[in-house]
Amino acid sequence: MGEAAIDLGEERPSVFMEKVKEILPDGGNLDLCLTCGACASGCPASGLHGMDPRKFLRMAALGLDEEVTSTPWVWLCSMCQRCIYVCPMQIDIPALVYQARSMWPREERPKGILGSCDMALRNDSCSAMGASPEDFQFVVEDVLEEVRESQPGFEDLQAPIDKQGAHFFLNQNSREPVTEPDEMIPLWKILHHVGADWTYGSKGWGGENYCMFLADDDSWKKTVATSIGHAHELGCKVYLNTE
Amino acid sequence: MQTKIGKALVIGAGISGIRAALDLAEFGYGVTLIERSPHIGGILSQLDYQFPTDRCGMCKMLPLVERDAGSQFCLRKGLFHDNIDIKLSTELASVEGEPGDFKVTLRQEPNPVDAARCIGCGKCVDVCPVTVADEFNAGLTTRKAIYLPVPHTIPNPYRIDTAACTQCGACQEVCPTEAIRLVDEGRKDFNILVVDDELIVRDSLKEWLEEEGGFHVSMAESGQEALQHLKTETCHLMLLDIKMPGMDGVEVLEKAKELFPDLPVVMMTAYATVETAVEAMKIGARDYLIKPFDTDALIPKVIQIYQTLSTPPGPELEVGAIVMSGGTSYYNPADGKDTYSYGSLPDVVTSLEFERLFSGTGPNGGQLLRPSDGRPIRRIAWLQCVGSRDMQSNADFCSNICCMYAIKEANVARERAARAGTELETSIYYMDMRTFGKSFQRYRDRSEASGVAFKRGRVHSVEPDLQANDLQLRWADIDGNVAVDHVDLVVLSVGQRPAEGTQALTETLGIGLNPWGFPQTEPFSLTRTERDGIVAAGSFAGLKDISESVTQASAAALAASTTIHNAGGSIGLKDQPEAIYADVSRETPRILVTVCTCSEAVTQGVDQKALTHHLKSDPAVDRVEFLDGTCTAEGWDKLVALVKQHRPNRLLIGACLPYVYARKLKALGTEVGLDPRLMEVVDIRTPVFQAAREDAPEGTEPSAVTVQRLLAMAVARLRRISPAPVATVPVFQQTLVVGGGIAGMTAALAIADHGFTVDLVEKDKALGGNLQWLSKTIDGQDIRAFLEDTRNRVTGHPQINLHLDTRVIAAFGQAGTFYSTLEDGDGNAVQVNHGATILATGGHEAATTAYGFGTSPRIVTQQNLEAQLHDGTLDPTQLHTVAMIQCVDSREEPRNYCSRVCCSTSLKHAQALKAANPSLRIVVFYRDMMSYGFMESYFTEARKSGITFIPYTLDRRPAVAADGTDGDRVTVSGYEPIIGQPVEMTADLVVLATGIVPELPGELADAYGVARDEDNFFQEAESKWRPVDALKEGVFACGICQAPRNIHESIATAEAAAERALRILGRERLPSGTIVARIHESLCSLCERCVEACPYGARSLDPENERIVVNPAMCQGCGACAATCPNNAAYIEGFDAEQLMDVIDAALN
Repeated sequence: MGEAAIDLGEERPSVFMEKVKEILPDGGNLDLCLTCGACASGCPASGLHGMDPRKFLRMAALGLDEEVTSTPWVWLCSMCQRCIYVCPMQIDIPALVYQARSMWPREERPKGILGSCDMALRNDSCSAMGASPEDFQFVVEDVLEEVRESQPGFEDLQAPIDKQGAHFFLNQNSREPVTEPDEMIPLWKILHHVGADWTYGSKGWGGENYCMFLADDDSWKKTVATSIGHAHELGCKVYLNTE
Repeated sequence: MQTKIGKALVIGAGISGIRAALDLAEFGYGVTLIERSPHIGGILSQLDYQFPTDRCGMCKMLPLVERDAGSQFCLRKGLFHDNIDIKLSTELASVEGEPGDFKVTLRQEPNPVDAARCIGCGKCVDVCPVTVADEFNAGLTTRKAIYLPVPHTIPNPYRIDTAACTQCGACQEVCPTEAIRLVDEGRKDFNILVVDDELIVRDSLKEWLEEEGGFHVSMAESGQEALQHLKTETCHLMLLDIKMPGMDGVEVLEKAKELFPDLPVVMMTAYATVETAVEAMKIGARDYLIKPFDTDALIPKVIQIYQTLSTPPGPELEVGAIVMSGGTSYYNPADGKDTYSYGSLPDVVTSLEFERLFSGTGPNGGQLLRPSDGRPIRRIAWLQCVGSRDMQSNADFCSNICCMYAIKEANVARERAARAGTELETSIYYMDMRTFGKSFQRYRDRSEASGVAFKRGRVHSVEPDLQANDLQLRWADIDGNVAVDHVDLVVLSVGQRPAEGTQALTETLGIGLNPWGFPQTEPFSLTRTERDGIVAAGSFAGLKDISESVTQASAAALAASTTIHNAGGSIGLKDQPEAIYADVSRETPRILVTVCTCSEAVTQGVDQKALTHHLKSDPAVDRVEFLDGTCTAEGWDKLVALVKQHRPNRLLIGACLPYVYARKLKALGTEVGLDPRLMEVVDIRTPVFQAAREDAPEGTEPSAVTVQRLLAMAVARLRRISPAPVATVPVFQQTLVVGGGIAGMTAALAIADHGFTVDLVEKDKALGGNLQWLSKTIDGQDIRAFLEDTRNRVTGHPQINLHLDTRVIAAFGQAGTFYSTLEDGDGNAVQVNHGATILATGGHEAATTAYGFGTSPRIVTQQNLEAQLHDGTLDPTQLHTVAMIQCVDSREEPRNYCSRVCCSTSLKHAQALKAANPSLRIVVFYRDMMSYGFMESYFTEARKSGITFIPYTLDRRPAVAADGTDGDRVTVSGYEPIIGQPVEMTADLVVLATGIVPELPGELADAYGVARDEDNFFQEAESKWRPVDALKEGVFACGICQAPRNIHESIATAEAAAERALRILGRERLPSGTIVARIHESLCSLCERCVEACPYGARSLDPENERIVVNPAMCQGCGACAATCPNNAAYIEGFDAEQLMDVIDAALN
């Protein structure tokens, strides 16, 4: 103890939480907390930085805006949604965490996420690894060639890029083409086996979305728009997000 | 039994249905009690123990008035009453008519086992090849298709689950009494049309339905073909695929319904189109099946439809009122996201499964063993609010009972473990522990002290720990500490859902539902619905514990009774023949013994001559006759002829199933003028059953010896039965109601509306009690208008004598005859004679000195606030901050009980303040929010509107300090446990929830011979089974002198108390039971020990005549007096010493 008491007489409750409520459908149910702690008991980040989802929401609800918008705990949240998954009141804590992230000055946000987002913005691949469309194309073709030659039964395995009119548009975590190319193969085989008509895109093939984790709305809007836009250009019916 | 012409239908024979039926029957109405399942008792047939006694106690509901009209044994085993006709496996098919004059049609599911022939040998079970989950053990064990629905009922014939039965005929072949008739020729003439575009679906359905179901199946591969088929062939049922090329299923359904509106159609759908199937049900589909089909579910479903369609409706009845008491159903955790892995981890069970798990008739004979591997259970976790208080399962309500049953289960399990000499860890994980009922808080505290751990937190998920071979659950305490607990068993405290079939039943009856699918009741009533004469009892309108269910069942009985009375139904039947029995008290006993010979088990080896000779060695035995088939009409006629011919003054029938004869003996008694008490039926078949079996163990007593002994014992008993007529006590057919609040007024009106005079006594100058300062209910009902209306009805009622400004200054008396002296404000005294007494003396808001009350005008109680809001002295728009503190001086000693109304009152006030001033900051400091039942939605609304709720514990209470001029500046400080920081606010208003204290003066309670509990509330006879009765019959209580309650609930208790009183008022003389206490006056020394020993207040000293008197209508024949009496002067009729010695002699001979 010994801390200053939270002033409940303050007429202005939480400005931050009120703003978040305005954005979310049904206000994200942020007012409905029963303080049962189901979220806190299931959250992998509970206890880190002395914080957990229930406490975070509670602080927001009681107007401790400064603490809420400055705790580094929000960056330890993996957006796994285990909290809202069991919440009896369906409170959108992940959205509250997201909005708290967005309150941080961009340059002060965690370097790893920030760098990955910036990489994705570098070219049309939208790849957090910064791989260019050409590099991607080269790797895919190279791996495909090897499989066709070395693995009996997969002589006609397909991994098309920019195939016009394909049914499925498939994206790809860019770590695989860049560092573990062989890990792309199993999925190709499955798609081959079921006879799916699919394609990668040369643009927007990077499936990870670090700009979203960075809570940088404009940036992730840009990368997602690039990817979806290309799927439309190719006339694909279904966007398959592998992330 | 004094019968009235009025009749009622009670739907559902659980505890509420039984209570309502008994109340109506004891008043004299005829009742038809129907039950969908094949046994009575509802869910309580599966529950062995109830808190706070952690025992059963259901028998305390047995009739007290004219006890001999009903059975007097374990109610879980069965119920018999002259005025109640019980129909099992029966549902309501249709209803027509008006209140007071309904014509109802029932539908009874046929049982291929003839109950009259079934002897319960169980040979059929041995040969039955079908095994299904046993619902009695909540699916933890299996049973056969021929089975006993519950193990303990009387009678208990086997039953065939026709939906599971394959009609193989094996049981029919082995049945020794030819009790089984499986033949169901109808199925092969039942034409089912399967419509599906996929050949494999059509073919497999045809195969299943023909081979396993025995039906006739036709097929169509398209909608067009199906419609063509319907036009040319007779079709009884269509199974229709939804997704078909061309005409889809919904279109086929529409067209088929145009052609044949009555054709039953079941949609077949893939999981993805379930919504379409649900839509299809709205346009006339009967049901739907989900592909891929589970044959175990499909065939029974089709068989069920077949049975409903092929069972002719009937019988038809005319009834004055209908009581719906169909109970409730429970949330299935597998229906939701199920992060507790119910259904996949065998050691995760529901609360009902746990009740079976530790039951003596459960899967392990009462031992606490893990379902997964049978290892002893050492650690159990209860997870509360599964399917309650949960938006994800569409449950914005509290299920009322789960907190208490979880505590009870923990206690019983601990006791079980202690008896076995093992340790058991028990933890309850909860959100709010809702101990809002009378005595609940102390029960919780006792449990906590004895080692039950209460952990405030909702568990995220349950996972198996494969290494430790147990279950692990993570939870966060209120300070945010996350712990992983390991347990052997997880019990999910599952919440309520509407009873299966509620929608169909309420549609049939024309009753609306509330947003959660429970029947909607009228404002200020928990039982009346929008249709007069159709009332809800017990959990049917929302889950309730036993006490509330029993109370509201009596209230429902009252509402039904009122409708019947208004339609002229409570007029006594004039031509009801009054039985006149010959006085045989001066005759020596002449017993006619008849021995039934229909059972081989009995006749094998019984030498009739030797038996006759032995029995006749007792001079009391006049004749011994052997009769075949005593229970058949023919056999009975012979018996009647024998009685008429030989005119015995005692009759002993050796047969089987004694309970079958109760009505027959009464009729015989009336016909021949012999008191049925001088007749006895002794079961000579069941005891020799074992001996008659081929595999009887060696040394089993031969049948002949057993039969002879049983008959000789019965002779010994019958010989000494006193032929004195059953005593009756006179009844003043009017009532005194003490207290003119809402409860007293309601009770007075209820009784007066039945045509009996009521004296209503109120100490104040005005009627209304606490309603005088209340304005609106939480759901917006106008209390003042309601009070005005009730007052007008009371003051204008010709049968109510109103005594305002009056007190009861003296009273004495017993059930039937009370004498009370009333004195008004001017000192004028009058005496009132009454047959029953209702105490409705009320209570008031508790005074307090806590939290600075009295130091500032800004610190008020809830009553103060209510008044200020009403009279306008408080302007909410002038406030900025309001603090509310719950549980002031409550739920801790010395006032360690929840007052039940304060949480909802705070929610109501907060809601009103917020409505007037939306920017107002309201903070509620609480311990456990007690927004039980559907009140929970107001708690949700309150949070939604931005009201802050901060939990506190007794070691960290909030503090209030007033300073400034006249205490104008008030500061409230507290502690926010989740953030872990102190909180503080300057409050413009502090509202203290101080709770309710009763006003039941000790002298008044003493005058009527009733007790008060440790908090000075009325002490009911039994908190669960007789919640509004005093232990002393004839005195009842209602309203908040009995326990804290809101208006609706107080009204329900008043209606219940009135109904209980009506049982006594309904007759001029109150008959007693046969088995009552008496006194050998020559042996009595007037020590009065028996008076003290009598728990029912039935004994008293008559000082004028210097003797002890027993009120036979109040005596329950328990025998406490006989056991206490040092001189053997007190004895129980039918159990006196000489008689019992004779019986023992006969047994040992």
